[in-house]
Amino acid sequence: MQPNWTLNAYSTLLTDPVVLTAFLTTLRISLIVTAVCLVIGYPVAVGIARAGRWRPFLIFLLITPMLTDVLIRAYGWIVMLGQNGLINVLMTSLGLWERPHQLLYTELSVILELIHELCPFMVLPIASVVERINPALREAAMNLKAGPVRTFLHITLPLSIPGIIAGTFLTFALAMSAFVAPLVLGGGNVITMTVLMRQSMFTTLNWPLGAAQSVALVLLVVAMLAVYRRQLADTDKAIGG
Amino acid sequence: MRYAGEGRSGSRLLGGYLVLFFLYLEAPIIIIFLASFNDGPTVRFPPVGLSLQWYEELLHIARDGSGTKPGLVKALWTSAWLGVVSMVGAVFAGVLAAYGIQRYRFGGRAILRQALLLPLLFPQIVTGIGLLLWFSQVGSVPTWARLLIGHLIITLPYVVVTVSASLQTLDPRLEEAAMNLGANRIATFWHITIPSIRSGIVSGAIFAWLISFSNFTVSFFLYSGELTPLPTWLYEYLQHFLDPSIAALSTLLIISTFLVLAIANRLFALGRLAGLRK
Repeated sequence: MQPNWTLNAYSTLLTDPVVLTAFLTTLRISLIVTAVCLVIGYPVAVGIARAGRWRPFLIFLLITPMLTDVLIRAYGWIVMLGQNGLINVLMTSLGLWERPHQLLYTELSVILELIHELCPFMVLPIASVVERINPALREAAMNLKAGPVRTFLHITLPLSIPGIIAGTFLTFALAMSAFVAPLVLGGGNVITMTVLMRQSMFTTLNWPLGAAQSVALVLLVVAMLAVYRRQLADTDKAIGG
Repeated sequence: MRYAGEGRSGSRLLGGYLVLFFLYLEAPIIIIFLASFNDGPTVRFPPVGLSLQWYEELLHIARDGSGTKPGLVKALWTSAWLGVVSMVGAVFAGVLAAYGIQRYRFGGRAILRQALLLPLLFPQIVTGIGLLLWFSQVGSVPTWARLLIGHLIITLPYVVVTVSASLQTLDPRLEEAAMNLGANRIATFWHITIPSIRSGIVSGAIFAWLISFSNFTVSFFLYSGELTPLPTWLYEYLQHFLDPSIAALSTLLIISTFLVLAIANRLFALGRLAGLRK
């Protein structure tokens, strides 16, 4: 470590094109992952919120992947995305692809793993907000002759926005700081901020840069999580739950 | 009962979507399970036949057989003791910390509570890098101590959260009653508080063990060749081999995790705390 206090590492952080590229890669992956999680996760959250006696079982199913070792989950994706894996076999036998594609160790494989890993974190905050929407509001809309689509657009969707914001920020923060997915499924081809941090620590041995990157990542993630917590706390106050 | 606000067809559509979604969510686990019984040298789909050859291969690896990566049993053992020692340490410190924060009023209480929960907020890679930098400044800290300190930091918040939740539901008048009847603080804590918050302690302990046992990111920055926890061993293995014996190992690990959780749930009704059961 350098004996003197300097801001050199931070100026590298802002000017080095490698760092910038890694940041943009991470940003791109995180935005795609968060958007897809929101789209596929929202109906799940509504389903869970209205599942009645099935709700505990569905929540159990939702958190089972979290109880499985990250490396094991990543291995599952390696198996599914390989040349003879489920996806290649499915696509070629359906005639959609002429030959197997290289899926593993690409940005796509990292994105697929992260969507799978982070979807529960999108679903849970939204479900907790949707659950608290007073059913009388929807009944009232229905009595006033609103159809299911209008009821959804004018009642459920607007009232669930705090959950959507909370889930989006939580998922985004986790995607930005994800390490195992880019490390294992990126196979060295996908350089995210976290993969670059590992390089600074172990390969280029630029520890001050690794430390500066850590600080930047913490600030980013803590800011996102602050928004997430604020949204959920505001809902608590508004609904009095 | 049918909700007003959407038609029956809407509910059916949502139900069908939920089934698809959960199939997708559990797909990697199902695939690993199928792959482990696959007959053939590589993982392929559809499986070409049923065999236990990869479980035999796993035994071969466990015996440090030729042509395999050695150290599986040692890695399992390392992760097991690391999990147990972290669990005991985190429970001891976590119960006392949660009790202090919940029952006493003192300056900086809110800050202390936030500080204890901070590792939940920080990306684990930052915890790992921070510890690596710190240990390199401190000097020669043996690997076991590095791993243990790292794992204590990440497991402690889980115990604090579950025990605090239990303490909130415990009526302080129970403890006051015990003290009115002549019990001192320590006796009250031991005979009233601890038994009442038992399920919080147990679920915190199980979380702590699970978090430690399956942690990769923090260990990755602190481990060494002679002391390799299981997830880091798995990572190194996957760098060189992708054969289905890992699917066999994964299947066994997944089944044992769920057995532990199911038994614990049976014994201590953890679900109520984790919000799984009403």
